[in-house]
Amino acid sequence: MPHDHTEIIQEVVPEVLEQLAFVFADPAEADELPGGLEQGFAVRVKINGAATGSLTVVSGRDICAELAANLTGDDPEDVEPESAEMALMELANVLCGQLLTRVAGVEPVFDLEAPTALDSPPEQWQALHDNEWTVAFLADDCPFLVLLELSADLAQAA
Amino acid sequence: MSLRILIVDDSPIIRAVIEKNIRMSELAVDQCIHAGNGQEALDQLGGEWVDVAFVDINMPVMNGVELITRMKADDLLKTIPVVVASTEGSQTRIDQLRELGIAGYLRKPFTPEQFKEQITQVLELNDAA
Repeated sequence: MPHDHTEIIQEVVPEVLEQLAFVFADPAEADELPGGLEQGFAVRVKINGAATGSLTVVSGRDICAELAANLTGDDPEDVEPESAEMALMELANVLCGQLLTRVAGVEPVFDLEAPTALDSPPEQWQALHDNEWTVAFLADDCPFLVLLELSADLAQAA
Repeated sequence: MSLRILIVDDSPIIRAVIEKNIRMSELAVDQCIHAGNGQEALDQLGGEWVDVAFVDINMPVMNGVELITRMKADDLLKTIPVVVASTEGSQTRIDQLRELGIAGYLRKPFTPEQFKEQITQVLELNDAA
């Protein structure tokens, strides 16, 4: 059985979103979320080192645009889709670093690969939506899904 | 004293965030020079002097560890204080970076106050040295 990191994710995601971009997120139940994703982005950070795995984040477009605007100081209306996606990639990178410390402590050394954008965000959305280990949030009323998958040797690393 | 600061990160958004934080710190900053990886940073440092360098670790082409190692091997560049600004949370890795000679460490996400504190601290340390 995979490790259940739900509580840690529910603590870390709102903290990072607020500190990085003044965006407020609350944990959400699956039935509070829309059934699909019309416009949005999906990104993944691969984890190597003391344990292997990945962090996958799928978010609606609006929250990514707001995130990019808050990060750069631009108007959300002026944010290009590429910038919105890049903002989600950086958020995933920061989230991954913070989550690994909370999950495994400060001794293990992890190597994070550069975040990558995933094709077909609606399909990624559905995959995460259907995964029992996904942790869901509503960030400024926009859906935001997080899945942290780590190999079983994490217990030895921690 | 107006500061010239080098920001090395592969993400343009993070470089913009760092510059925004530095400029919000109310320090007298003349110019922020951007580089997308360690090699670009070395190229910039070949022709420009900076007072402090903020360096990410995980970057393509040349990562932050190699950049810092090369800077510390150069008689001139080794005097530039390097502050690592990274997602890295491993104390083991941070200790390794301190052994390489970094002047400070900031973990993402960061605040303007942290930048002000780091810049003030490393420049005082640098002046004392």
